[in-house]
Amino acid sequence: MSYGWAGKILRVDLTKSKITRQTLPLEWRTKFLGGSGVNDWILWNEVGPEVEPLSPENRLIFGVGPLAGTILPLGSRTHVTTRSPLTGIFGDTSAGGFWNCMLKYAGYDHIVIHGRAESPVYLLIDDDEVVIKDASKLWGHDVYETDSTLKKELGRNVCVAAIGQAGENMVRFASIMFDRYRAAAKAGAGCVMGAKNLKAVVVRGSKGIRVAKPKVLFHIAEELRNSLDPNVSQGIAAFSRYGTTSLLTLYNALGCHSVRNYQDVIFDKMEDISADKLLDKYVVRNISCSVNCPLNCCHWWEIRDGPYAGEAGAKPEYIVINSMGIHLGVNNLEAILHFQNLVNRYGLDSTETGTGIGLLMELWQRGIITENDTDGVSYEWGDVNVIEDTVKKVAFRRGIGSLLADGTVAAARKLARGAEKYVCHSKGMTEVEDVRGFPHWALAYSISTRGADHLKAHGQIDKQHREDVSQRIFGVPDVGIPTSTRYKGKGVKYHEDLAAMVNSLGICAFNVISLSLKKNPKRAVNMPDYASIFSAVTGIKMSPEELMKCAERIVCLEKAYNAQLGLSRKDDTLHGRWMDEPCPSGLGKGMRCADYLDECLDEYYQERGFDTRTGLPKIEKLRELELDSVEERLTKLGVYT
Amino acid sequence: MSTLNIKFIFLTCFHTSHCTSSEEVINLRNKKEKQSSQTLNKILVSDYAKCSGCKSCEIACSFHHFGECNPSLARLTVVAFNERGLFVPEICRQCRNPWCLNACPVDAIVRDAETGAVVIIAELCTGCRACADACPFGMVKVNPSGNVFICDLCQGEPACVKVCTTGALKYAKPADIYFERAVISASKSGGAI
Repeated sequence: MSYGWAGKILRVDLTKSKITRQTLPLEWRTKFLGGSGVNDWILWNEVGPEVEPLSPENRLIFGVGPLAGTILPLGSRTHVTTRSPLTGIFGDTSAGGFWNCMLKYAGYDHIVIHGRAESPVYLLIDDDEVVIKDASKLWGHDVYETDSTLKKELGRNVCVAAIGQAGENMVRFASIMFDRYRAAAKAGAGCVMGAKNLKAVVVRGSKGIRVAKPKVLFHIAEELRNSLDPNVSQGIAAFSRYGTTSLLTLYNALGCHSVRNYQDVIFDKMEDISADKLLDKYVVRNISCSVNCPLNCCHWWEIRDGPYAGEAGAKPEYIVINSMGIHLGVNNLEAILHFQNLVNRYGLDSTETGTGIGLLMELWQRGIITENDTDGVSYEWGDVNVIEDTVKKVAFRRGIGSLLADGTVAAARKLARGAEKYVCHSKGMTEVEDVRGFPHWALAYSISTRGADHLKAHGQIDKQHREDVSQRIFGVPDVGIPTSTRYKGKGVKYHEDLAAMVNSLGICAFNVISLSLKKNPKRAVNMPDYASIFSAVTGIKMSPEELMKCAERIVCLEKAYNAQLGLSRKDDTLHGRWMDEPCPSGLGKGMRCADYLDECLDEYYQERGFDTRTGLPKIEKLRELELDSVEERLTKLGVYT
Repeated sequence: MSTLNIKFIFLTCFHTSHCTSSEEVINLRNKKEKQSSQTLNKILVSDYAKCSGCKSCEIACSFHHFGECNPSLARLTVVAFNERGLFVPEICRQCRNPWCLNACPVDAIVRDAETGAVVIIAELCTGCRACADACPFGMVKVNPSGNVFICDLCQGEPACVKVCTTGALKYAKPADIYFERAVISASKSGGAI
């Protein structure tokens, strides 16, 4: 009897049309927990440095953690791991939705896709019945159409994960969309899916998840639910109302938006696109993006009149309002909502799409590119028609879209003319939150294993000035002081481990962060507390130390994956104006990452037990984490000589 | 006292199928039928306008009754209309004149005196599914082993309501529930002026 985990890995070889099932080994469960942790382990074992991201040998690994789909009110997430076609390195991405729990209810924790189908197919999982089906009729259709068609054919109780035209056309930052609106957008997972000729994965499950200690878990769940109940807690009520759009106001006060391609950090037209305007004028109700989440931070919006009348959709998340709005100087909220639907339909990462268009707009502003480069279109800031047109071109790789479709960094390199200095990125992935004044974030973006990213070591302690929480967790207030560089290595290590744990347990970071930021220390739930939750669900005894060691092991494994590809400390850095152009305004006015990043990196590596010279785990560290095969391969590849 | 007895009989029915004599069960049924004309105290209602679609209720329901987290075994169903951002919780309405009860050819369905819930006497049920076919709301569920089950209001403390933080599911006196609806409606029209 498997508690927490469904207990099986489903393997689908698309080249041979072969489906096999494997029991999730106990050792993997105790060492890597599940979700993204087990995904990482499968990637490490099966996708070596010789495997190209778009080759049939690359794996597309879906994973759901042991806590997802249980009675815990912590949300649920799917994690997709692959070698990224955007960055060429380790790539993972995650999404909410109901698909993840459906997969577990069907009896699987992971799906590993191998090979490449000869013609477009989709995978149908109906409990024990798994079939590869022809998808030629779905090919060429967008995500929403695909979802509707499949539901019409198979019933409303299936959950669909699909790619849009962007994935089909192998745009290197194509997303996989779960349940229409939940994007696993990072790292180009949708591109890998497109390369495998896999249009969708459809799941229906009717088996249950059992838990080891129902009574204990019931009480834990009740307590957590009380802490996360918007009717009880004011802080939760605010998050429930605004979701991540609450960051619009906060980040304008702090100065960490990316305005007109990072040229400013405070948006002067914020009142036009404010969260209150969104909520009062367009949001009809708040909905839940995943199973068993009391936060309901997702918005369902509808536009009733004007040029976008009749459009409706879910979210937008802060990042979309930034990347498709603020970043491009757009102050038209309806247009941003429309863009959100557009990138969802085509299956594109909004960040990379936004930074690509932002690059063109800045190059246009500086006269570096002209109509000769842009299919005769002028790229003025905030021109919504141009943005819409470009998004379409990217999805179909038409005209200038084919330039952007390989990623913003690749586009800048191809354009040459010094364009690269206008792209802010790490390891080939762009991000749209400005980090210059916020050492925690600068460091987090630099060391992130999938490239610049706000979620790999996500924490809000600094931006919310929570010195009390910092004191509680780290014994010093500094992690809660936004512009301070002190103890940021400690803070980033903690949050990177926390994210690894959350992602491996299959729950949502927002619920976990909300619980950790509770003002009442008795109500606060921190990383070690999840050990007892894990034990109650799975029946496997795990001490807080052991759980934190698991998180550390998962992070080190990702670092090792990149190390075998030749990455080291030199790659743990930022590029573009974040490094050497002083922050123009806000809390961090005058700060440049180049001034402090090295010092933060040193502290971070020391905290991790890494070699500060190479930025890689020391051999003793790998031994401590029982990563023998990692030590073996890295030594063989000469990483330690 | 009577509730305790009923509970006891139910438990024994469930665990050891032949320990209760059919005479006892028939007595129980008669007793319940006599009380079916009693007025309802509280009712379970759903309001789709408030539902976030998190399915906590489905998981809580299956967990309470079967000890596992499995929406397909829940006695209520949240139907998702993703394309409209709409989630509609379908619940057993505990009809005054129940389709399922009327359809049962062996009179295995009765009304619980205490809660007003329509319940299946497992001992008498033949598993013919006539009740499931009769229910126009799809709220008589059938599990993979062919057993039928209906919402029993958890003996007056519905597990689904406890976990619903949006107020989409409520268990209260009918007058109070519909008064609240009237207030919402009024505030949209007259009250807003």
